[in-house]
Amino acid sequence: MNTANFLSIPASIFPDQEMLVFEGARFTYAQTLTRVRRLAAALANLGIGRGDAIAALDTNSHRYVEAYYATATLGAVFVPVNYRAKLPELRHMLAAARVCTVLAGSRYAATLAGLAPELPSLRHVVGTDATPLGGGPTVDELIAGAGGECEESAIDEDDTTILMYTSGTTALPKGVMLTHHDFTTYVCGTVELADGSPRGTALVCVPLYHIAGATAVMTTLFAGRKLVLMRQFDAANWLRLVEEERVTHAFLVPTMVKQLLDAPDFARRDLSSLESLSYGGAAMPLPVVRRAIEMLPPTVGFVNAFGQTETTSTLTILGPEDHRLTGSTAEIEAKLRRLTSIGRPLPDVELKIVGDDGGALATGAVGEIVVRTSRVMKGYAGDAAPSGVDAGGWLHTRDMGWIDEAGYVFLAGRKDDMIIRGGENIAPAEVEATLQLHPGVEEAAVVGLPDVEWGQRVAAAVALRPGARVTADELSEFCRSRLASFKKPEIVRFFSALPKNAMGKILRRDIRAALGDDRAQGG
Amino acid sequence: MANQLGKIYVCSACGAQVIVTKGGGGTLKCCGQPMEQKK
Repeated sequence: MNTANFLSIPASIFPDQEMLVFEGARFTYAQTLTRVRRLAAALANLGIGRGDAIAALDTNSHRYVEAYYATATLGAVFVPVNYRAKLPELRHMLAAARVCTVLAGSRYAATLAGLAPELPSLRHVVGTDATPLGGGPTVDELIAGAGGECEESAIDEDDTTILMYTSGTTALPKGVMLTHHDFTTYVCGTVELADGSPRGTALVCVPLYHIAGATAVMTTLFAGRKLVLMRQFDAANWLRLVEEERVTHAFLVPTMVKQLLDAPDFARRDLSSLESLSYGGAAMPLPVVRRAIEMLPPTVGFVNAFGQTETTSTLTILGPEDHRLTGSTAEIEAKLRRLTSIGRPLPDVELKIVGDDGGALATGAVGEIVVRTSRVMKGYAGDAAPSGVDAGGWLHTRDMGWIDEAGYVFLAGRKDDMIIRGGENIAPAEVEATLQLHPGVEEAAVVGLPDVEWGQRVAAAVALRPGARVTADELSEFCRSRLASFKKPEIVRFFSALPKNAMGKILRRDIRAALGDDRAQGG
Repeated sequence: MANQLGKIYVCSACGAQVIVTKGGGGTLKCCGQPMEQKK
């Protein structure tokens, strides 16, 4: 099944249903399908076909959505790139993907003009704004000038439909090849096809170059749910749109949740339409999710969704019932503990914890999380790295974790981030969770720094709450009294805010660099 | 059918096509005969 069918099937059943709202513009399924098929025809006239790579370099828009479905219609490969990527990363992604066409917003014109001479495969630049980009046509001009419409081309379900670059928090981004089959399995397994019954309205504010954004669009449209799209997240606008569009479903990253709760408009807006609020993309601090549960309407069902680009999104979820802090004292304590978990695997996911020898570990033991599901990526583009899939079909996620007696999975940090001090393994997530229990701590990240005596030392980067006054020694002692003494941070450095990527994931390499400089200076 | 999610089936008699959006344990039939998976 071509993923373009996620649009064409509901469009054939409910052509006049409102489907997409973006900055005041409204489109039905039929209108969008027509624009998509005309854009596909115009791209085909430019000589683009099956297997060719089309990149998108822009913030979210209805044209971005149309560009993806037009690309899928042709059987071409969509390459959504991070518009915040630094120039070397951008060069790497566009060159490695051998893109023949880039669809870009006008704000990226200068960047693209500078890169073009280094991209021999690049033939076309198409503007995604109303104004042309570097002499090339705009998306709207292509749609208007198309001689006809192009229907879904035949594809092999193992063809790559999206080449999605990982966030690159530890190294250069890697291109993850996701197939029509991967997305079909995810979408059909996650939602029911539109059937004319009310399916609500979804607000998508995460970047569409991220797996969470891409899958949110696909599931929303296939289910017949109206898609309200934000160019970029902004707390005040998000709250306004929920009220005005009567939004029922939304996905946020933890930093966005916190910004919403702190927004001046929060108490003034009517959020009663919200039924489901999913979050993920980065670790959710316990104090933030507790505040969200207390402050949002009690009818909101919270879902913590954990996944990877390599697994076509979600692997585990912590569902609404796990977020309802009701029951006996013991039940509430158990739920509070589990709020720091990523929940349990989805039905189509097998998950286990393994040690360094690959053997399965017992309940409670920390090891690498490995998963097996039919929607694991085809591999990394150009064999940039081993796929991490072993002979048994298990993907080694490089995320460390453990499972409790009820099957809930808890993260312990990235495998590459594990700290080994004097032969003792220390999970950064455990120390970070302890630091976040301190009332003065807003956020914390823990890394290992090289040390001649111990191999590594535990170092913490901490951002304090506004007005809080806490010393490094106090935080170190706070951890020592709650953890094995070797786990306490020996170096604590204060930041106004921790460096993060667009999805709110902490950039540990930046923190390591900052703390390394600090250490070199004797701090 | 259990692992046929997203697969397209064709009726060799009338040409009808169906896409499986939820797999099950049965066999798809059209015009009185089993439908064939589209290659």
